[in-house]
Amino acid sequence: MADETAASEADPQITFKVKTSSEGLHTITIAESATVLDLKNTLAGDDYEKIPAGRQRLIYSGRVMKDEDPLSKYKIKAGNTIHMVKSAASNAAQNPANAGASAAGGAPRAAPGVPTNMAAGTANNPLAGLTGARFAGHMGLPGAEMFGADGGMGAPPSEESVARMLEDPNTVQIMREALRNPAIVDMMIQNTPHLRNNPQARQIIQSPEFMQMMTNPEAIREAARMRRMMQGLGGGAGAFPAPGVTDTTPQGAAGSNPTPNQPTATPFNPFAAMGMGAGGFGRGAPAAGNPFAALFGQPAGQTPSQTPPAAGSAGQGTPSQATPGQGTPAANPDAGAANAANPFASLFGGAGGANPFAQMPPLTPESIQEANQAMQFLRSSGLDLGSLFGGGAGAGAGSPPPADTRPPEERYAEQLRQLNDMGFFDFDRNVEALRRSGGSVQGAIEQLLS
Amino acid sequence: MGAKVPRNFRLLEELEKGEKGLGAEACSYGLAEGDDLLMSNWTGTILGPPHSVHENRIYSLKMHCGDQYPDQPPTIQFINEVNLPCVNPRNGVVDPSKLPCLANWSRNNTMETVLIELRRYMAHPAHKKLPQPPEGSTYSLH
Repeated sequence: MADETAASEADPQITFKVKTSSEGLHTITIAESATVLDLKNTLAGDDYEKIPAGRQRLIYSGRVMKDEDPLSKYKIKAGNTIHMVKSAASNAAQNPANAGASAAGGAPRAAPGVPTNMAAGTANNPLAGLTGARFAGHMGLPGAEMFGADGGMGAPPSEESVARMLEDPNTVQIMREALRNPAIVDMMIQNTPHLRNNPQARQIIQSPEFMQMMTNPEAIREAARMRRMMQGLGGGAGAFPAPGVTDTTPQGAAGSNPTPNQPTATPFNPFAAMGMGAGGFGRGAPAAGNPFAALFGQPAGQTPSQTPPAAGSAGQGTPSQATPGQGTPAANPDAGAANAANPFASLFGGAGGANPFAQMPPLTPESIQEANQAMQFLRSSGLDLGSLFGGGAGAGAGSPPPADTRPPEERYAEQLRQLNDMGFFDFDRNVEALRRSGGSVQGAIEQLLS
Repeated sequence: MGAKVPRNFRLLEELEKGEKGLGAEACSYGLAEGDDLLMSNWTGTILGPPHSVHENRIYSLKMHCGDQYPDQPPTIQFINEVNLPCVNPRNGVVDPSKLPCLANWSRNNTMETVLIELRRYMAHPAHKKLPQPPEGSTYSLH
């Protein structure tokens, strides 16, 4: 009895941390003479990770720890960290010795067929792969800085920078690739009610015109100019009805806020801009043809309406003949009526030659709305194509997050503390890195170390 | 950025970071022998990047930091067999001219930089589907 006590006292205990791939952090105290397998069995317990010992892999200081080795062999120092990695179920199955060990540990085995790691659950999402770490460092992908400060949470990039972004052939390439992938297009269509009901949706999305529209930097610049113009005029229109307006709908409201969804503030949104334009102009085509018809160059009137009017066409109430005059004083107010299939035609009445939109297919509020939804869907799927357009772009819904005006030491208090714990003491550099990483400590560390 | 950090201080820093697990999750490194006073020989592991053939594999490597480190890059050698264009298929030695962070080495790079770069290299679209030797096979060390 006394001997036993003496023995356990002579057996030194060590305390160290175990960090898991799922961000878990455990502090473990165990005898130095214990084997790695003992440690794994401890970790397999309900108090810790509930991962069978056979599927745990422990790494310390660049070495994979072997089950049969005593912990003392690895000379773990107090407070140091062991990394734990889960291996796939298939690996465990290949190794019956490990499987036996886990059974001995009494931990429940995962049922066959049940996804056991994150990657397994995303099989039906073709975009899942795009978000994976395999794209880390992929040359073609734009860096975090393209989203602006705070990883895009702050002020959105100016339209000029968005346009510059689109001048990068890589960015354009990525968007093209996405749109060319039938699986992604399928998902976009399936997740967007308007597109689901539109038999031509696929053609539209994959049409070169649509791609060009989404990726033409000049178009972005033009849209920005148009948006500014519309905003400026929207207010004035409220006070002074444009000549020819017979409707009593307040112009300001219709012009500057066609849908409750679209951001009304400054964030740059090419579609919102166009939506505003189109909304403010009213439906150029009273015939209410297939909104996409124009995209294909068919006369609008010939195609029966296939798409329910979207919220984006709130400006519909405005007589179309009247409003174009508002947008471009130079344009003939009658042009909109004459060229009913193309609401934009009148907008560019005088300036056609130099205008990139002149070569582009006309847009209708519905097509814009659906493009927005498609973009949104892509965003929600993890591939933030919307962000390629900058902060609020592509998001028909959801106004941009309000700018966080707290000082960085307050906003990043927790992250700064962690960075300090890790030995990064330069406040300015830490804040800078956190801003770039959008507040992620991991990202900030990478910044600081690069 | 101030004075040049001498080799041993720098290696001690890296050792502490590796042992405490402060760096990136997917890479780990430490001294090969705890009593190596010159801190020349290191071991590292790279967790295979997800969505690649390397997923769920752990690659062990040997890293050697010469006298001139960190002015000169460490030499890197895979212990586990791996099929990558920058790795000599006979002995697992990483060809420094084929890995940008070694070819354009700067004092600010660390062994962790190299491990992370190697992991990125594995995840590169051109490399992530390369057929790989059976898991766990190792180069016969000379």
